[in-house]
Amino acid sequence: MDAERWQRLSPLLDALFELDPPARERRLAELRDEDAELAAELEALVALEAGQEDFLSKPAVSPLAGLLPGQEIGPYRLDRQIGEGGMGQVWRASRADGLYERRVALKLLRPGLADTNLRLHFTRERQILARLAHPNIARLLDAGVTGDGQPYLALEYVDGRPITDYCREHEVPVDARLRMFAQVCEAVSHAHANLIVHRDLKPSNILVTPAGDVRLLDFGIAKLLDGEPAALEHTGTGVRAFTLHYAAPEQIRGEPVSTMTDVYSLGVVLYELLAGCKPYRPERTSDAAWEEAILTGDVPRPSQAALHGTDGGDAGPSSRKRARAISGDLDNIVLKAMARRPEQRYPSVEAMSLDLRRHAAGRPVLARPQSVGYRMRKFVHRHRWAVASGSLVGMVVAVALASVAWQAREAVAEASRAQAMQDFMVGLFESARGSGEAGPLDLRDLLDTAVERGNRQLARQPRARAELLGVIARVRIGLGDYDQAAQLLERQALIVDALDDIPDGLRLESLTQRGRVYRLRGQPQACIDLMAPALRFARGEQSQLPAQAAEFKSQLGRCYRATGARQQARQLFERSLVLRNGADGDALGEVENRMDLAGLEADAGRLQVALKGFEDARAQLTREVGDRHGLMVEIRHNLGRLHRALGQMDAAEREVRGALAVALAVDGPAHPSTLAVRRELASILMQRGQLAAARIELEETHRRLLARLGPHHVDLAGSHAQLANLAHEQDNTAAALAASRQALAIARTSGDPLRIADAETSLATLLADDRPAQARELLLQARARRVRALGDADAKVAAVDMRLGAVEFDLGLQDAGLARMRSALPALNEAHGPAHAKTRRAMLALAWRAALAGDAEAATTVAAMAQSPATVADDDLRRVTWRARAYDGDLACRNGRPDAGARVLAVLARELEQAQPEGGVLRRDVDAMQRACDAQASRVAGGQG
Amino acid sequence: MADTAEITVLLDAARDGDRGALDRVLATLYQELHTMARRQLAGQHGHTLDATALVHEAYLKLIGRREAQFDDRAHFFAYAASAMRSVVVDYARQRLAQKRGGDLHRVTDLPEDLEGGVRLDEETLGLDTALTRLAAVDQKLAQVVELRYFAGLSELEIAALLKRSERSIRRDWQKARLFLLASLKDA
Repeated sequence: MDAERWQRLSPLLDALFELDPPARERRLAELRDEDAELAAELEALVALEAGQEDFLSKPAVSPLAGLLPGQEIGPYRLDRQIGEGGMGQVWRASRADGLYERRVALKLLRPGLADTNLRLHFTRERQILARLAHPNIARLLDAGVTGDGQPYLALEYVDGRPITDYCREHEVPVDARLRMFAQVCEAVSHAHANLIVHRDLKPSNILVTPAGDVRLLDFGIAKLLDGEPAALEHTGTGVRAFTLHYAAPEQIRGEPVSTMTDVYSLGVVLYELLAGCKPYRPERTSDAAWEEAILTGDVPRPSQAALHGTDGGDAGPSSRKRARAISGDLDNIVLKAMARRPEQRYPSVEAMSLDLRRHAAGRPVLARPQSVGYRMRKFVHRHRWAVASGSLVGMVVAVALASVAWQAREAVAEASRAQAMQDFMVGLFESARGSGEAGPLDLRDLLDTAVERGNRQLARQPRARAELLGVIARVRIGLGDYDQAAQLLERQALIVDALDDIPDGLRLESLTQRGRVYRLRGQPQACIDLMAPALRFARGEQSQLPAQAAEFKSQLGRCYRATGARQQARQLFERSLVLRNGADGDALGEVENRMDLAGLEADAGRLQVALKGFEDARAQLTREVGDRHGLMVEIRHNLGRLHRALGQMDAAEREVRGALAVALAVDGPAHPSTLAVRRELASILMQRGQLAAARIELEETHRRLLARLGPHHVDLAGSHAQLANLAHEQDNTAAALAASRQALAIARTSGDPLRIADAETSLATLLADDRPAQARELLLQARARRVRALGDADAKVAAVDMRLGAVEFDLGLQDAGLARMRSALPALNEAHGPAHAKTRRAMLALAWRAALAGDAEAATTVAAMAQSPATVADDDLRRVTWRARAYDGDLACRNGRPDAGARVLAVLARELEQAQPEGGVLRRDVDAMQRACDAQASRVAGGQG
Repeated sequence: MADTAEITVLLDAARDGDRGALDRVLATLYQELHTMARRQLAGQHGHTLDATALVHEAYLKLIGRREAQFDDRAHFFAYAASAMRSVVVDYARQRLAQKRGGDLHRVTDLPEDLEGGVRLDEETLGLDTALTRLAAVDQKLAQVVELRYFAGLSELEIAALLKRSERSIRRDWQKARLFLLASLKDA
């Protein structure tokens, strides 16, 4: 564009601008006829403006700076400037028309990067403020745009000091500060309930009036949680809307903010209120230094900071007093609110406020979620519940909160619902505490009430109801009420399947718990059928929801293990462990993984490895949480089993008694795991010949099981089996058979082939002496089942073959019987080792019968086995040796040396009288052999005499 | 009103590329100018510029003249706007030099802290050149641009100042913009 062109075009432009658009068009048309080139140039020139409305539209530098007192903005007259923030200026003003005397805080937004953004922003702030009506939030009085195009908001003018300054200047004591802070929390909570996140909470936005009232200001950059144009989020480089010092890590990183962002900022404010200084004190005060401090720096405990004063000098008496008041719970509350990861903070401002209230009332705060022991101590101290264990109570709360914690990661608009759920559970709990004496059953009533209440109050919120059902189901599982849990989970499943917008975490959890309950009720295959198809889904969720995915895999793994599918189980356990290692701080989960993997080792017969695995798990559990935990019961129980399998009976009894003690303390006497431990103890006692003591344990167990489960429950099968064993040892054949038959009946209804096979084998053992043919039938069936389930090389098949061979031999099928026994022995040898009692027992059984059939070498074997050292620590081996001696004597009797035989048997009988004063199968057998031997001797004598 | 020393420091900083200083210095100026312009609008016009009543020594320093000798307000304002333009352009030039690798360190240290203002960079320089060309061809229009864009006066205020109709000012503004757009396009 040069001078000459301009000279020509300029007057034409003048003329054109005079005209309205239609006339303009005509003029241009005329011009085109006159001078086409010129017209084209003109048009091109005019066209330049298209799309360039912004060009030079705003002055180079903001004219807002030109505001002065006395100036009028809309109906208001400016009084004095009271602030200048990221987004504009705030002035004290009053109405210019003198209509009202009221003072307002007039907020004038400076022109933004683009006019449209400005308008949007202001409209939004107006919308936000219009939603809020709370005594502690400065109200929006008016809003508008001046003739100049200057938008303004008129807010309630608050004459006050920032809360931190106020408290310092008035030397407000700690509890009063907390009360004021509670008001702040209330206000913020109100905003959150209206789905508004403040995002810029700081002392200068929290004023205290001379009357001592708290007022929350400046929702200038607050975020509406229910949908918002994305354009506003981009504030460009170098522009920071919020104040750095109070900003949460996710704000600095530009990540989405949520109500927990406000929790963080409030935490910083609380820190300052308590400690008297800011939590971060970077060396340099540049923006970058602050960012780094917030993202990575360590926060000293407020009590420590209070101690060292604001200038880092020595503590005076008042500082010490303050530090004492703060240390402990308040420290923890502040630090929890300021946790770097949002999901580790309080899930809501309400939760933080509740915790502060708890602190004020001397109740345990939730700011220490890991320590079960801490919670228990406080509960035990405060309440005289007859509840079997404090940890149940703690568990309810923990489960309730845990179920909310994962929600913290969900879309923030759900924060209010999560809050409602948590409040529901906590409220339920609080109300329960008030009801005086409560025994264990009252907790169950409580849970039923919770379900009822949930149905009523959450009738229109199926998702919340689904969650509630899940929470309560988990508590039920913890209590051992598997049937009730299953029912609740079924109802939950109905909701989950029916709705589309169920969060993935809830879906995953629902499947996990349902599968778990299947397994606990003895239906592991049903568990697999349910969960295996969802494994891909779980995998897909594992980066978002590692904890849930890990739990899913663990539970599915356990189901696989229960059906003997060890390879799949191992893979799942290992993957779960990887996930838990990755996420931070799921120590308990890791302990469980270790236990699961160790269990697999035990299944595979690698007992020493399994032992080590459980010992490691125990060490970790003790380290992380302490001894009094439900998992400890399981660990010690398993250790007991393993020691027992290794023949280390002292260690086994010690561990199992230990497990029982913890179980009684933690779970109560009626809990399934307590009962399982008791049965193990009984079994050990039996093995050691303490029949009476064993019987006590067994009967107690049986009674409790019966009471809780009814007579047809699958778990009763094992109990019957043990009672049968005991009765057999005590020579009560009728009782033994009855119990054994009941065990078999129950096993049959369960449909679990291995269980049935076990029951059949046990019954067969009882019948072998008197009714060998029937015993044989049973053993053949058991064998078939085991082969189908485990393949014919399995040690359990060999075990049944051993018995079957013996029975066949006893039925007169000597060769067949011996052959079967001989072919079974190698598998047992391989599975247990040549020194194991099971192997040796089998060897002995084979050798004896072979000797009876005339095999001299076999007789030598028996004699050799009789010579084994009798002082071995392994009860089972000792028994084998005793039996070997008995057979040895018996063989001597039969083979023409009755005196020698009788002598051997007599010595043995005396020893057994000492070792098994209560009697037993072996003693009876030896007795019978003695009598037979005497008869033999007298025959010989008779023959000779 | 800030004192001389402070204004001097701010001015230097502004010309050196400090956006914050620029904002503050110009804000000071704006306040003055707009008050004056508003008074003009409100009808308190009339006489020759009452320099002593109106302007402060520092302010004069700002606009580069020790004595206030202006024929009339319009003259004064024009001069002020021109002074503001020069500060803004110096600022933009400096930033560009920094960006182009003068002192890399400083560029990263000082992000242009926009705080609601307009990005002033090479486009500003281009504008300055175009504006100079406009002034050579049509002084009247260039003046309107300076007053409107660099001094931040509204069309109404400019009209009162130059004793013309608001409409004619608006038309001049439109034309000026077209010229500048065309000029920038050609560049």
